[in-house]
Parts: sequence; C-alpha cells; structure tokens
Amino acid sequence: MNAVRKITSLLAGAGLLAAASTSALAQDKTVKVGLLSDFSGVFAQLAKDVEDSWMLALEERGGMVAGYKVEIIKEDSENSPQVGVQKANKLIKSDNVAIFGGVISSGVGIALAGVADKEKTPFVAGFAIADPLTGKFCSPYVARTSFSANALQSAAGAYWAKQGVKTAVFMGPDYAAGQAMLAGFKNGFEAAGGKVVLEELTPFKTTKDWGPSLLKAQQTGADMIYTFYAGSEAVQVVKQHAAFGMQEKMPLRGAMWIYDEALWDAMGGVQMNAIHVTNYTNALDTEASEKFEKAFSDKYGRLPVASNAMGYTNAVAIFDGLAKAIEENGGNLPEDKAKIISALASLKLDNDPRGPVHFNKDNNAMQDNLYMVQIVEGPDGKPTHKVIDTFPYGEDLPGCNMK
Amino acid sequence: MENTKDESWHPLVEGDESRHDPLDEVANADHRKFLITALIGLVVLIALPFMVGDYYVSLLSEILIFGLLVSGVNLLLGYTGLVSLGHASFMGLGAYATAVIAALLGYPVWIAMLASILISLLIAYGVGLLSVRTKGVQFLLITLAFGQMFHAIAEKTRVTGGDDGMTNIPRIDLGFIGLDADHDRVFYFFVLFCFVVAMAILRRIVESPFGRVLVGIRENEKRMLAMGYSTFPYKALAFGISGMLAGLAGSLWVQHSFFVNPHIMTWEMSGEALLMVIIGGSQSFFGPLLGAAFYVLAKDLLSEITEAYLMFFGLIFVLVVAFFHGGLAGFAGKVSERFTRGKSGGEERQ
Repeated sequence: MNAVRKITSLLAGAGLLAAASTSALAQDKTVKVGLLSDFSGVFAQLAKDVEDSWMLALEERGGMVAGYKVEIIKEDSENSPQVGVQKANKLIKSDNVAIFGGVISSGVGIALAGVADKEKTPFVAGFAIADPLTGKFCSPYVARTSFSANALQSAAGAYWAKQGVKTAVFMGPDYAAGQAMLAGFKNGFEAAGGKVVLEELTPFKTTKDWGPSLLKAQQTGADMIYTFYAGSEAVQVVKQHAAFGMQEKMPLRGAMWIYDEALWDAMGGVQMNAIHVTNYTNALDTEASEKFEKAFSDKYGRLPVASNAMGYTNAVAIFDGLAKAIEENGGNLPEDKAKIISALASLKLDNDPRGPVHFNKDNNAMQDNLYMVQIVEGPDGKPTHKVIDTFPYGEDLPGCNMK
Repeated sequence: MENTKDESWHPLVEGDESRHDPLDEVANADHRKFLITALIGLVVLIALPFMVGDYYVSLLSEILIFGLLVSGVNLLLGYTGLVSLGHASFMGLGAYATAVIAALLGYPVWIAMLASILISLLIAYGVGLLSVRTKGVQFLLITLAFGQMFHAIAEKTRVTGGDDGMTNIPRIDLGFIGLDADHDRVFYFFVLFCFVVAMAILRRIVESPFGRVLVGIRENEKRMLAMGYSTFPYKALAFGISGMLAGLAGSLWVQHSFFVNPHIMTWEMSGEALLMVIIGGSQSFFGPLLGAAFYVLAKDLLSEITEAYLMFFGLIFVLVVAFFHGGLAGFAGKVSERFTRGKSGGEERQ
C-alpha cells in the first residue's frame, strides 16, 4: 500500500495523475483541480507555458495541498468560448472539480466567468486580461492572477509621461484587446500630463503593411509610438518601423507582447535596445525571482518567461488558496466554494517571482511593481533583458458590483 | 404564377380528395413512419435526462440547439438544394438579439426570444432576397460574404464587448410554473419544448405545397419554372425560415452558455453546421438531428482521447460520405428496412 501511495504521489508530482485511477486509494482524500486552457490555437504556446509552471508548483508541494492529494484534470478550450463552456461544464458537472484555472484568451475567460458564477464553482483566470473579467463580470466565484489591461497600460502611460514624453501615437489592432490597451495607456499617459496625438487602430489579422500607419505617425512628430501587437503582427511592425529609420526619432515602445522573447529570432536583431514594460523578466534579481528561475530551469532546462511567471502565480494561488480554505474549514474542503476564492483572494504572495502580489476587492491580482526592461546583448552574445527601471503598478477600472 | 389546372399528372400539387391516387398511399405510409419515428425519438429525449449525469444533460441541450440550427440549414441544403455558408451569422443574430434585449436593456427573456426569432427571420429573408438570385458557388460565396459582414459588425460593436463578448446573460424565467431554468434538467426541457414546437412547424412546412415546391426546385428548377412556378419567392422565404430556426438556436444558445461573442458567427461554425447535415443525411427530416448528436458526442469523446481529434473527425467524415449513402439517416433507414422486411428482403436479393 505504501509503495502504491509513493508511486501515485510521484505521478501526481509529474502531473500524470489525470489518467490514473484513484479507486485503489479511495480512503485518501483527493481534490480535483481543472486546468482548462487554450492548448490548441494561437495561444497554444502560452497555454503550454502556464501548464509547465503548474506542474512545477505542484511538484514543489509534493502533489498535496493541506492533506489532500491534488488531481489535475486537463482540458483544451481551443481558444473557443463555445468549447470552453462545454469543457467547463464537463469539469464542473462530470469531474466535480473544486476549482479550475488556466485560460489565456479573454473571450474564453469571460465566458467561463459566467459559467463559474452560475454553477458556483471557482474559476481563476491565468491570463485573460480583459478589464470586464473582474469588472463588469466580477463574481465571488471568479479571480484572476495575471492583471487587467488597464492596470498595466495605465501604469506604463504614467511612467512615460513622468519621464518627459509629451506626445505619443498609439498603434494597435482594432479589436477588444487593442482597444482596451489603448484606453488603459491613454488613461495613465494623459492623467500624468501626456497627450495621445494619434490613435491608429489597424484591422486585426488582415493588416500586412504598416507603412501608411507609420507615415501618419511620422507626420505627427510625436515623441514615441506606443503599441500593442502580438505574434507575427508584432514582428512585422517592429521590422517595418526599423526599416522606416524611425528607431532614433520616434522609438517604438509597448508591453511584453511586442518584444516577446519568442519573436526575437524572427525580428533578426532590430529589436536590440528596444525598451518595453513587463510584469516579469528573468533578468530580475530578487530572491524570489532567482529561486523560481533556478527551479524552473532545473526542471525544464530553459529560462522562464513572463507567461511562465503568470502560470506560476496562477497555480500557487490556486493550490495555496485551496490549502488555506481547507485549513480554515477544519481540514475539509468547504461546501460553499466561494470560500475557496475568498481564501485565495486573502493570500499575500510575497514570494512571487513577479514581486509581491496581492488581490484587490474584485479578486484581481495586484503586484507591487512593474519593470521597464531593455533588450541588450548578454554575456554570451545573445539578446537578453536588462531591468532599467522599476515603477509603481496601476489601478483596475471600476465597474465591479459584487453581489 | 397560376398553378396549372390539370393536377393529376404530377405529385407536387395536392390532389383532389375524391380521387384515388396511389401516391397518397405512399405519402400515408411515409407519414406513419414519420409519426412513429418522432414518437420514439420524443420518448427517448424525455427519458434520457433522467438516466445520465448533469454534464450529459447539458450536452443534450447542446445537441437540441444545434439540431434546430442544422434543421434550418437542411431546409435549404436538403430540401431546396442550396448550400449556405452564412447560417452561423443568423444564429449569432438571434444570440446577440437575446443578449442585448435581455441583458443590456433588461427586458424579460421571453420577449427577447420572440424578438430574436422575428429579427432573424426578417434579416435572413432580406439576405435571402439578395442571395437566392444566384446558385451554386456564387450562392455559397454570397452567403459567406454576408456571414463575414455580420461577424465583422459583431466584432466592432463596443456595447456588446466587441471581440471579448459578454456574459451573465439570464435564462428564461419559468417562475410562473415554479421552475428555475438555471437547473440543467429544467432548461433542457425548456429547450426540448422549443425544439418540438419548431420541428412540428417545420414538418408542416416541408409537407405543405410550399415544401413540395422547394423539393421541386432542388430536383429541377428549370422544370419548376416551365411549369409556371416563380421559384424566387419560394427560395427567399425558405432562406428566411431557415435563418429564423438558426436565430432561435442562437437565442437558446446564449441562455445555455450565459455568454455570447462573435466566435458564434464565424464561417467555421457555418461549416460545422453543414458537416452535421451531411453526416446525418441531408435527404431526410431527422437526419441532420442525428448528425448534430453524432457531431457533439463524437467531438466530446474524441477530444478526451486526443488533442488531434479533428484528424479522426475528418476520417469519419470521409467514411460517412464514401460508404453511408444518405448519411447516418440513410444507413439507419436501410437497416430498419431490412429489419422490417425480414426474410422477403433477403430473398429478393438472391
């Protein structure tokens, strides 16, 4: 029996328990946790990043929380709200999970927030940065461990205005996320005295030539361009901006998406010396960050990136929130699952690799600081991050009316 | 425009009651078969939710909702012979109409549902007037274009959250009969009720002279024209009705998932609806429903086994098209025929 238990806890550590039967260990207490994320589709890499960190966090806890063995049930939402809702229904009604998390896409995240609220089962978004998720659609059954678009971008806007940047052009794709990033940046930038002189929203997924937009930006004579693009669009914008010779006069800045590490090869060097805001970089040298970096690279043989850090916060919040809720309920899983979210939201994650993280009254994660990083040449000749400044975090948009 | 006076020579026009027509017997036998199938199906649909867990009840609701959508698609594809790639947008219209009227404007859900049905009927009829002038590939492309247009509008509309969509959409209030539609089984029976009413109406439509004209158009539109039918208004109305069914499906879908975003209006969704029809069997009334059930359940099962389930899906699709003439319904029909005919069927073969 003991040997069986040892083997299964090892399996749990490796995250393979989803497939293993628990019938042999019926007397053991098990808590089921759903990992529902966009494992296929455009966010597949980010979803994998989050999963890797979940497995690391679970391994660090020996596969257990507060005496309960953790069983992870993985489901793919395929970057489709319809599929996401169906899989969430499966996790809640068929697998009886205590809580589920993950999810990259904002559309899927918002859909799941509604399901979680109606089915009274906690959901903890791992990425899904749309403001309404913990704003208009907030719920006692919903939390988020990443950040809201407004919190990050308004802080970045305020930072640049305070650095003496007076005018900026905003460029981004014309869909919900692009619009949210624009609104957030504008909030912070203009409140701190800057002025957005041109809002250039380009058709999403169909734009291939940013020449006209860049020309329009050039004519404004603004101090910088602030952007939100991701994936192949980011690569094209950065390259065309460089080809226009605008890097000196009107630098292209943004958040971690535009200069994502995964895109560096495709950018072919033009990303060097660019500056952008991020909520985590492996160049951070805090104790917590170094510890995470070591554990992660020991397990996976590569350095963690921002999406790994956010996946880690997601997993740690879920596991430690569960542990706290179980302990507060005398060693048993609480009947009222809203207590899991309230326990989670009361956590103070002082050892988070991103820096200290806590939750606000809307159950959304707030971190103490954000980081301005520059892409520089590392000692091995390869590009790497250098932290050039640390500045305060922003605020969420109002709009949450928790029942 | 006027129907021909001599009606005895073709079966498309209802015959004189007094005259004995051998085709009537065939029609009566068909009708009996339909009633038996429908009754068995209904008993199964009423009994099933008491035999399975909550998750499968929600899958059953999903099957019925998609069943409405694909029955609408089949009115065009199977009965009229028109392949539309834009029906997801009518589902989306119904979904958004319900979401906006119930969640944003705060009207009761039943009003939102009626409005959704009406709006999708009118808009689909309008689109039909423009698109049924074409056929074949042109028709497919023009419906695709309309679908993409509605999708783009949904993505741009900020009050509905653009690409992110909106959630917390209420379900219908069944408090007047003491039930809470937030419970899966209660909601399932509400969907089943809508479904049965819609299917009864649809059956009446396809069995009516109007429906016969649609079949005539599918078989040979030139002949219908030569016989004096102006086929255009028939096709446009068929398009409108099929869009209306899609709209009802959309209205039920937002209540089922509490959520809507433009993803529901993508052309991939329209394509899935066509797949369901073809897998199930487009030449039969219940075929598309079988297709929807098969699609939803197979997807659920396969996606549990492998992430690359679409590959197997493609394989199944090819097999069905290659070997099951008339889809699953055609296959089921053949099996039941052999079963009922028993020995005599076997002898005939030899």
